[in-house]
Amino acid sequence: MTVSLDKGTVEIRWHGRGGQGTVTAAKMFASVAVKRGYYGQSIPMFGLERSGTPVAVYSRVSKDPIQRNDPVRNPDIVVITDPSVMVFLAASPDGKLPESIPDPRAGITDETIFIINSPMSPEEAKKILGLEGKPNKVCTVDATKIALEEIGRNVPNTAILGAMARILPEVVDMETVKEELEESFGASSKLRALIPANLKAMERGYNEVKCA
Amino acid sequence: MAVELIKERKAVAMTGNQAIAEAMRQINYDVVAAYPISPQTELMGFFAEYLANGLVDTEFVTVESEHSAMSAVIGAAAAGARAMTATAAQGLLYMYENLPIASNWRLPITMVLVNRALSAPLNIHCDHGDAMTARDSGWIQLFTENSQEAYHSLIAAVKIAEKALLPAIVNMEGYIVSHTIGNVNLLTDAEVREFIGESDWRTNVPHPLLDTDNPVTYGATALPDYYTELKYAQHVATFEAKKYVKEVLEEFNQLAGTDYKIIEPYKLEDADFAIVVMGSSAGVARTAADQLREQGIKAGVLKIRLFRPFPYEEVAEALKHLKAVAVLDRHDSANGLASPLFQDIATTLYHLPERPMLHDFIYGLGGREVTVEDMLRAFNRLINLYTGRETRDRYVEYLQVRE
Repeated sequence: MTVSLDKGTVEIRWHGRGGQGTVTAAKMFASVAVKRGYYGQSIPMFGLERSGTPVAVYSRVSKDPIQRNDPVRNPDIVVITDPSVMVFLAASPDGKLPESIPDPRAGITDETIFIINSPMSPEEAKKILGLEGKPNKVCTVDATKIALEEIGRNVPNTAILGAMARILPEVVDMETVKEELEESFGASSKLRALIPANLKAMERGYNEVKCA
Repeated sequence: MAVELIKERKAVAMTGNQAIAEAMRQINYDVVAAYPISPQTELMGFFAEYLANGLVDTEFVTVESEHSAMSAVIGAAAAGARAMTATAAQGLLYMYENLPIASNWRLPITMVLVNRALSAPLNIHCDHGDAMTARDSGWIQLFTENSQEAYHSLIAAVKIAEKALLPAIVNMEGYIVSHTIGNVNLLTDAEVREFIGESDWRTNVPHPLLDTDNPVTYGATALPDYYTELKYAQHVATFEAKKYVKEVLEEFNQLAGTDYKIIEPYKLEDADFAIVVMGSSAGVARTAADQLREQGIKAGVLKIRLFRPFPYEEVAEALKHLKAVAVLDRHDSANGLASPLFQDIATTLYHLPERPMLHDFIYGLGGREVTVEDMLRAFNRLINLYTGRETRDRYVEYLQVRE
């Protein structure tokens, strides 16, 4: 099951933590969308990006110019880059998150697809999200582990993008991400050296994501 | 010589701050003076990178305050340089005493105002409070909806300012535009440089200080015998500026294939009810109008691009046939009457024999998110006031307040 731009604007909400590169991932996503010839938008949570604080970032992608710039309320895709969200949820006696963490289930519909950075199985994640029996597709990929193994740092972005390439293939593909990395890392030889590892992480994200 | 970097037009994804820095690089200003303040800091950081990499010829004056930033660009522009600054919120207020000097001296300075709420309380997020303090400063003011428009508007503003011989502010909303990444179609460096023309200190202003063969005085006193005449000259120039804004936007449209006008009506021809708005919330308002039209309510939106000089003739023409209009002000003037845009619209419509009912909503203060639901609530309240289903105590109300 994939999401298609034929339905109109595809809306995405990212859940991460400041300093873990969620904003960077969302910006990369918008940049890749533009490179593929679409209209792309990514809105960091209106400013404050303090290291370690939970952040929600909103993205839109469309074949037509994007009119709205308000927060995404009913996401087509929820991307959870911060693995602690699932840990908090699993430990929560009432299935609720602390108030400081935006709830990834807010405003979802039956069609909303989840892409989660977690070592959990998709079945387990779906249960913890309280979506058992619901038609929602829940996908997990251990992007943090992939990043540590391939890049040597906790930057799960490219592995997450790999998983997104499964769900939104019209927008995210290996070749364009490579182009994007070459552009954004190109100026520094130190960063340029990380491109192959990032592409490997993306490939593994694509291959290792599992959905239920 | 500035390096030619972009030789073919291309579509990129950029934040507003990146797009403005890109425009600054392409414009290749003679002088930029700035002091950092969020959310403008990042913008000048991007530009400083271009400067450090030798891509521009600009003299970048890292002053110790905004007051000095404005003083520096006034001096530079009076000398004949193409000069620019950027700031936000209290930064603009700190430069304020120099703003009317720049306009009365007819100096074509451009400024990017990364709109931020005024203190107190301290807040780094967007509203139009800073821009509204400059509404009577004699500066041209353009509002922009997204990073594409901000990029285009700064390029156009250079030419507008130099034709009108008035300083111009390009408003770009803090975070909502400055930090949101979106599509930007970049013009080539050559196209931008040809459009604005080469900077020439001999002709950028009519009487440059550097022209030592023809010495002039800037900053002379004008006592009761001449003050009125010098203000009147500025008065006439401000009214005439609208013509130059239109001309330059038309030329720009020819170049870029855009369709910029000083105001942007959306589905107003057959509308009964409309929202008037400036800046990034216009698209959200258009989305709400479309949703209402699906329910059979004839809704429309008027986006004001040129705020100063106020395009009263065009606004009157666009709104005169409506039943009721909600004016959205992203600022509270705290004057016991109503906010600035509402006052302008009310003045604009007053002389018409028949005019729409008006209501003022204060919204989006200090970065409060502006949603389609907010816009629908504004429309519904307006319609209920018009039909008499609801009543009001005053013309101005807060749209989003928790009471």
